[in-house]
Amino acid sequence: MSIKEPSHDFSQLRSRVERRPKHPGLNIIGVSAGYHDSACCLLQDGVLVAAVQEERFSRVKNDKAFPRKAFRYCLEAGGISIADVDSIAYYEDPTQKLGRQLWMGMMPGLPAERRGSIFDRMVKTQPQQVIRRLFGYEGPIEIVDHHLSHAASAYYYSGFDDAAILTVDGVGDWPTTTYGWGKGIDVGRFEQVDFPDSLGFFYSAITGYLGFEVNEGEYKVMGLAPYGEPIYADQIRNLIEVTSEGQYRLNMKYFAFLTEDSMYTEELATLLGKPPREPESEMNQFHMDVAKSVQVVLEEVMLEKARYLHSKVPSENLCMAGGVALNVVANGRCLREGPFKRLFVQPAAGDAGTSLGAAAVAHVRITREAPVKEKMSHVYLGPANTSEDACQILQTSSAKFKDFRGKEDELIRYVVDRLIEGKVIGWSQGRMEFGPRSLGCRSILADPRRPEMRDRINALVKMREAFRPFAPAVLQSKAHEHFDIDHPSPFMLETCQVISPIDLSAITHIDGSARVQTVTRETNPRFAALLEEFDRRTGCPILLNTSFNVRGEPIVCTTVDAIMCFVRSQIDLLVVEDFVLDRAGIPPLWDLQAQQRFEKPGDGEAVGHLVYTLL
Amino acid sequence: MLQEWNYWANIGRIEPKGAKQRVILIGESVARGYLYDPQYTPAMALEKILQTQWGKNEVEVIDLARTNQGMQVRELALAVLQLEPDAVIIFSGNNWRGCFPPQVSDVPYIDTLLREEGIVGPKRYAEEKLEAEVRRIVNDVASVYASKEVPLVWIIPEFNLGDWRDPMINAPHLLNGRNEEWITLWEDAQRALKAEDFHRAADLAQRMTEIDQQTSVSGLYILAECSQKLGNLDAARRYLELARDSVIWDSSKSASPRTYSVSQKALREETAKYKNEVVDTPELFRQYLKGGIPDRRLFLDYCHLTTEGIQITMAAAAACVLRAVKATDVAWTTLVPQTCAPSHEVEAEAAFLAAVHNAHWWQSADLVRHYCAEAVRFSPEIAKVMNYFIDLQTRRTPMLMCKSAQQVSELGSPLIQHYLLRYNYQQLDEILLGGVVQALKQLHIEAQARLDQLRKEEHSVAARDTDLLDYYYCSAGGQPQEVVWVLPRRDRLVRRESHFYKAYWLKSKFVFIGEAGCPVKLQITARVPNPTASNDPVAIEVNGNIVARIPTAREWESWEVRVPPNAVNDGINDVIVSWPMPEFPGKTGYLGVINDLAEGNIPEFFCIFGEIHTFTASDGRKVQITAPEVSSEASVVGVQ
Repeated sequence: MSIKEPSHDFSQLRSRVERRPKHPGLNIIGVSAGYHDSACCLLQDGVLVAAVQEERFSRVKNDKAFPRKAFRYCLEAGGISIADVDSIAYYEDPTQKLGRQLWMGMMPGLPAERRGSIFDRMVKTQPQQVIRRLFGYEGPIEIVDHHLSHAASAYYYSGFDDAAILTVDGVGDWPTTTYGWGKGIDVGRFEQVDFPDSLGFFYSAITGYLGFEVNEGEYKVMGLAPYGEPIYADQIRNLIEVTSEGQYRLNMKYFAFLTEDSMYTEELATLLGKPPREPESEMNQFHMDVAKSVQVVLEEVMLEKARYLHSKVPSENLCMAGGVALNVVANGRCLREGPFKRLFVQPAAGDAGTSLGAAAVAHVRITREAPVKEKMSHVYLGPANTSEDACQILQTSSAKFKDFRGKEDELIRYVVDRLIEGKVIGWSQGRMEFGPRSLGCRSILADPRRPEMRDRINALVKMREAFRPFAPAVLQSKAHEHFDIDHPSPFMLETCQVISPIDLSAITHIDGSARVQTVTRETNPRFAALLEEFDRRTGCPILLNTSFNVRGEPIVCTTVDAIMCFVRSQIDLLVVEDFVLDRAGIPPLWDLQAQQRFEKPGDGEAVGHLVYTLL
Repeated sequence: MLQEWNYWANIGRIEPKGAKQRVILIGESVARGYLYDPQYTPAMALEKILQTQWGKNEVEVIDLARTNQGMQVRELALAVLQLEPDAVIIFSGNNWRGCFPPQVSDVPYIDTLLREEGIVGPKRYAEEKLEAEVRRIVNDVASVYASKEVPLVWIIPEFNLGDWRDPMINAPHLLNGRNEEWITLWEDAQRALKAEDFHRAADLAQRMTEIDQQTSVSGLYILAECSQKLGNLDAARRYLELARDSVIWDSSKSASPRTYSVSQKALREETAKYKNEVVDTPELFRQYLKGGIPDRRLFLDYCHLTTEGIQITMAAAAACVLRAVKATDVAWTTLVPQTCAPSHEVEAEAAFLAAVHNAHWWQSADLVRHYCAEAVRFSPEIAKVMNYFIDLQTRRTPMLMCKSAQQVSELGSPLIQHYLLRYNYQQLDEILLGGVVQALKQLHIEAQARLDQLRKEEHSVAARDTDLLDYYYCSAGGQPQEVVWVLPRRDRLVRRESHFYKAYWLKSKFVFIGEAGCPVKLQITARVPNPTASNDPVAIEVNGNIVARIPTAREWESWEVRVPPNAVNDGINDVIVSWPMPEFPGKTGYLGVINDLAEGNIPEFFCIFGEIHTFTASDGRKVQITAPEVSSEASVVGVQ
């Protein structure tokens, strides 16, 4: 092949070509994928630079696909290219997992369809190959066992020098619960409970029985529990036998997940005396009592096992991760009634957070140094939107909006005025949160003093079940005046009693508790400013804060996502960066855009999804 | 559900059969009247003819054509019997795809075919599977209709042989690694075509097709062009049909819908067994065009018909219905004038939509310009839509959020609302917007300056960094195989196993928007996965000038290229990355194909010339000029 010579002189300047030297830092990408909540993070010289779930880009809730866009975002956020990546850390051990899958595939009496499905999973391309093929990555891949990833995601980001570590989830490789310790740069494990005995599946089975989606609806059960009485706790205790040390056993006659797609057997319905609740059907007192009962039993087991852990690892610090660690009510009880003085729960305690743990373990293996020097202080690790981009979108549209660029005080005052009027605000600012909670960057906000606000937001804004509680965000300096809490709770991972002299009915759960987020200027200055102004005007340093999404949709990421969610819901006012829109300013055509973005992506079954460019 | 509703005629209810004769039309988008529907449809045209023959209140045509209808037409055909039709017309075949990739149980057989015959083995396998399935559909449907004594008319679709061109691509992995020889032949043939030496070009292309065993369109298109130039239309038609059929095995990217020869043959043979009435449009169009090759006169794209195409086809279908139901023999040619036609405004909109559709399917500038010109010829009113389109297509704001989209919507055209606002994707559209600007010029409307200004405002590298791999920009490269990984829509039927750019040809084209006097910094992270021992460098050209030669590396390497201001155009700048000739794997390439098939993935059939992970263009003035370290391996390019 011949290469054409330059056709003309470049006169003053010649083109120059430089090889870009490799980024000097140690760049480790953590990856979790394949089950649910796929995610990527970048650990650069031990500093957590970026972390994001794939669902935020793909707009598929709990997306399990390999995090292709999250990976690219991490590179961009770190200012690096694929050539600068030193290691990719994967969050589970495919060999261990294969062992469990083989065991499951050999279960006697397995229906052929189920066996086929297990076989399909077993012959799937190994994650190492997927990483090489999908990302084009040729460097070293660190395989980190699933529960080690969970443990590391809590310990290395806790700021503790030593801690006991408890991880509890559904299942990863083989273990479902692990007991371990962290000391200096080392993390160890001394005991584990193996599949199929699983506290996660114990809770998920009841979640399924109550008509909620497994792996998604567990926090709804937790939210429903305070409405009930634990009158079925004795029956539910039949499901799990708590044995010596860290062990427990599920009574498999109530669980079907080994051989069927259902989590529970008909025996469970017999035990509880009523058939399972149909999804979306009416909720009655029975369901609430069952929810309360399973919550009580879970708390009992967790507390007992936390005490056991402390007997083996007598540290003052406890680190927790795994999906069950997102049960903030159980966590709170472990801390209050248990032997530990301090608790750190990884804010993204589910599988998304294992990307952080895997990356941290890889860092230690490579450097023999601690990856993270300080306690994780925030989760604003996702993509940022800019005021310029928001401006560009709004100016080229026919939307009516207010421009507060360079006038932050005015913006804050304007938003506070609307909050006091009882408006519901969509609030999208700066970098997006990592993990399941919105913490003031992709949030829906409202006045917590208005008793009608909970029902209104559940029904019209979030389009979800009426019983679901909302959480408060409070200025950290004033949190103790309103909540029974004496320490920061920046990640909304603890519940405590509301002690406020103000009637905070919109954020107070039926049992008088609240899941608090404490806010400081250091980590989120604009959100803190909003709370301060609301406090100055009303004497209430608290706002109702819930995630900026509607039912079935991931939390918004981009400015366009925020606008589309605003259009689709009944949020009164949208604040994106320095701009404010109200519903009257929405152009008619935006409804169509919102509708299209919410349609499920085509599965390509027919030719049309690609073929008809205009269809 | 909403999407499903849009696939059908906008009819909420079909009344029980009354006194009128009932004819039902089922089929796919070509039967829907794609780009005219709902303003004008084949069902309307057919009903008008039949009412002229039978009386206005004597006959009704029920429109049950569904866009995107595939082989499920079998179930629909059986279901519509409940509507008590007096005749049913089935106009299907374009969405009947080849059965490739195969079922996992067939993978060992495919493995053998590949090893023994190369890609032509799986091609034959796909044809045999498709043919068998088509025969099954006809038998299943026709046997039931025969037992119920309901007349059945089949319309065998034709393809736009004259104008539709699948994008030129490299041959797949060839036995004995003869890909390099194939490429040399292709390059020689291009030179011969340019020199109008059609005999030599045909000879070279013939050798290409011998090597690739007609598994690539490239040689066949050259042979067709040479045959046309040498006045042999029959040969040209044959080569174009072979080209249409040559892609049946290739599941690595999305081919436009088409009725393959095997489908047409199976339809002809099986319908004859049941003595069904048949409108054989390949034959019908041949007659109508007096032996000419069907083209843009009858087609809006690969298979969807113009008004003229619809009128002829429906006239022929009406003749079949008359024969089957009334036992009346009427020549279809006499029925053509009895049908209806859309307004000029609808024709203009359909032509404009065809321009968009063809451009987004990578068709030639000539064809895109033709439809743009047709649009303004039909109605100057289309200029309003075109003007707004320039704006909404050039904005970075999502289309439906743009003020111009609102303005288009307020024009109130059902066609534009349905097709353009619902399904268009924004992209740089150099060819399409060029065609629009040219068409507007015919109406004495100057739009070029506004387009240029808008492009700079929205996309100039002076304002913000440009990701050259973003679909908006890299779609302008005209290389569909290379952009599959960033397609804005999901489609599990195309290969997306890698989330980075793969080059399937010697050159990769990109674009950015520059400004006069503004230097540009290009940053690229690339690798060459199949290098040869010769180690030729990778060359980067901007607007025809080589600005960098980068040593070939099998691992990812990042490079920065400073492009001086006088090499940068004001507006669109072309960037060409030229890859060295790779080491072609030959037969060993099939190992990867089989592994992919066994894992249920869409296989990689083609050799990769180079890969790019990131490629950005930014304002070179922001670059620190302090003595950059120039790699000794790289060349400083430019002549003092």
